[in-house]
Amino acid sequence: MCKESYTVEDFVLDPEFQKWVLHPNKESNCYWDKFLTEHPQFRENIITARKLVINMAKKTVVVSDEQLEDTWELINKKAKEVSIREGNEKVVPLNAETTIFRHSKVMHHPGKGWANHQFYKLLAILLLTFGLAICANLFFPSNLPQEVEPEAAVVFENHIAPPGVKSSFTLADGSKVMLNAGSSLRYIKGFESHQRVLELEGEAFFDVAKSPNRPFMVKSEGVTTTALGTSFNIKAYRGGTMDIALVSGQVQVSIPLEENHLVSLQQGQGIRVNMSKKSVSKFEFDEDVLLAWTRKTIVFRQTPINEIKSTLENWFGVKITYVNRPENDLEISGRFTDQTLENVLKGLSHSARFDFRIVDDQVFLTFN
Amino acid sequence: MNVSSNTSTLVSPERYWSLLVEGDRKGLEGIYRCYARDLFKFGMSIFPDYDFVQDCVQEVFLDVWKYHKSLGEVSNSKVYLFRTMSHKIFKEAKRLKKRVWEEINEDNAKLLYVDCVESELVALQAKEHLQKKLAMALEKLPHRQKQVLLHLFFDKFTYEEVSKIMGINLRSTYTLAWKAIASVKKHLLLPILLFIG
Repeated sequence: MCKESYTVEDFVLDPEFQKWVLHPNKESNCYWDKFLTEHPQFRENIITARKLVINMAKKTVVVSDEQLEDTWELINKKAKEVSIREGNEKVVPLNAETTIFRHSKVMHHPGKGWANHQFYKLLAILLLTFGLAICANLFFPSNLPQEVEPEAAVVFENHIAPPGVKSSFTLADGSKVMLNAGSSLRYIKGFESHQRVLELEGEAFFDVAKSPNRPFMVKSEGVTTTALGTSFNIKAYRGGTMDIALVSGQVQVSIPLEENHLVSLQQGQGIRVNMSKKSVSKFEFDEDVLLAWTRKTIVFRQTPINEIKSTLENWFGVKITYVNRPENDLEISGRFTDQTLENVLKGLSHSARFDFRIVDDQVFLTFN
Repeated sequence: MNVSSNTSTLVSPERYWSLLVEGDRKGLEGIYRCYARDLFKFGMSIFPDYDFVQDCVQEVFLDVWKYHKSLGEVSNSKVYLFRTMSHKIFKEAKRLKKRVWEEINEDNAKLLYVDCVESELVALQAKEHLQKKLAMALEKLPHRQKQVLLHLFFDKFTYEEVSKIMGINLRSTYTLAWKAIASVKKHLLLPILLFIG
C-alpha cells in the first residue's frame, strides 16, 4: 500500500483507516502501529484524520414511523391504480355468460335442427331488409344526395401521424404527400374548385400534381407556400423554426411579417422563418440530408445532443430522459437507415459515450 | 436512532426485490420497509422539506413499480433506489427552483438533530461540540460534495456504489470527496486554534 504521499484527506477517505478508527481489531492495530513507527512524520495528520472520522456528523430531520406509514399508504394506493390500468390493457377473459353459451352449444349439438332453424330465420330477415332497401331506391329516386352535397364541401380531411409513425398518401388531385412523425395535415375534402389549400403542423414532403388553374397552398403558422407543380419539404414543428425547402420546380412563400413578404425560391434553396424572432433567412440544403426522413433514414451531422433527443423522441415515439447532464456542446454525427431504436442508440453510444436503458416507451441515457 | 430498526424482517431485501420484479406488491412493500427510512434521511439531509422529500420517495417507488418488469438486471437494489432518489431530488429541485437547504433557520432548527457515525466503541472520545461543528461544516458544502460524504460516511456505500449513484466515475467521486473533506477539515481546525490561542 502506497501511503507515502498521504494527506489528512486521504487518510480520512481511506476505508481501511476508517475501519481501524471506528471498529479497531488486533490486526488493524498492528498494521497502523507498524505504519506509525515507520513513518513518524504522519503522526499529526493521522491524529487530525482520526478526529475527523470520529466526529463526522450531519444534521438530520427526524422522520416518524407515522410519516413512513402515511407515505406507504399513498404509494400503495397509486400502485394499485397502476396495476388496474395495466390489467385493463390485457385480454379480457371470457365472462360467465360466454362460458355458459359455449356449453349450451355443445349440449345442443345432437339436435342440429334447432340451430338450423335459427339460421334460416336470420337469413329471411336479412333478405327482407335488403329487398326493401332495393325497392325503396327504385321507387323513390330521392333527392337526398343533392341535399347532402353542399355540406360535404366543408368536410375537412384530417391526416395525423403520431410520434413514431410516418404516413404517406395520395391526395384527391394526385399530389403525393409524405407526413413525418408527430405531424398533421388538414384540408377540405376533395379541395375547392379553384385552389388546393392545406394546413400543416410538423413536417411533410409534397410532390405536387400539375394543375395550373388550382394553386397548391400549404399554410403553417400563417406562412403560406404556394406551388403549381413542384416538390418541396416543409418543416414546421410547434415551437421550432420553420424550414421550407424546394426540391424541384418553383414555389412562392408569403410570410406575414411587417409588409407581406413574398419570396420566390429556386431549386435547391430553402428559407427559414422564425415567427417568434420575426427573422427570415435563406439557406442552401443537401437534398440527401433534408429528405433522409422520407427514405427511412436518420442523419445527424454534428447535431447537438438536444436536437438528437427530440428527433429520436419523435421518430420512435418515445420519451428520452437524461439520468445525468450531458456536456452542453456535445455534437454527434451518424446515419441510420431503417434501424431500430436500440441499434440507433447503440451506434450513437460509442461516439457520445453514454449507456442507455429502454423501458417500454422510455429511454434513459447515462453519460460517462 | 437506529437506521435498521424498522427492517425487522426475516426476508432479505434481495428476496423482496425478486418478488417485486415478478410484479408482486408484497415485494414493493418489503423493499419500501427496508429502504424508505434511509431514503427519507438522505433526502431530508439534502432538502429538509418533508413534503418535497415525501413526493420524491413516492415517485421513486411508483417508478420502480411501473417498470418492475425491467428491473431484473439490477444487481444492487439499494444503489438503484438511491440513484433514482438522487436523480429525482436534483431534477425536481431544479424544476421548482427550490428554496435550498441552506435556509434552515432557527425556527426549524429544533427539528434537526445531529446524527453521528456509528461505532460500537463508546469511549471513542467523540466530542459533542466538534460533532456540531462538523455537522455545520457539512451544511456549508455544495450539494454534490455533501452528497458524497453522506453516502460514504452515513449510508455506508463504497466508492464504486457512490459513483454509480451519482453518475460520475470513480476518480471524480474520490476527488469530490477529497475536496469536501478538505473544507470540512478547515472548519474543524480553525476555531480550535482560536480556542487554544
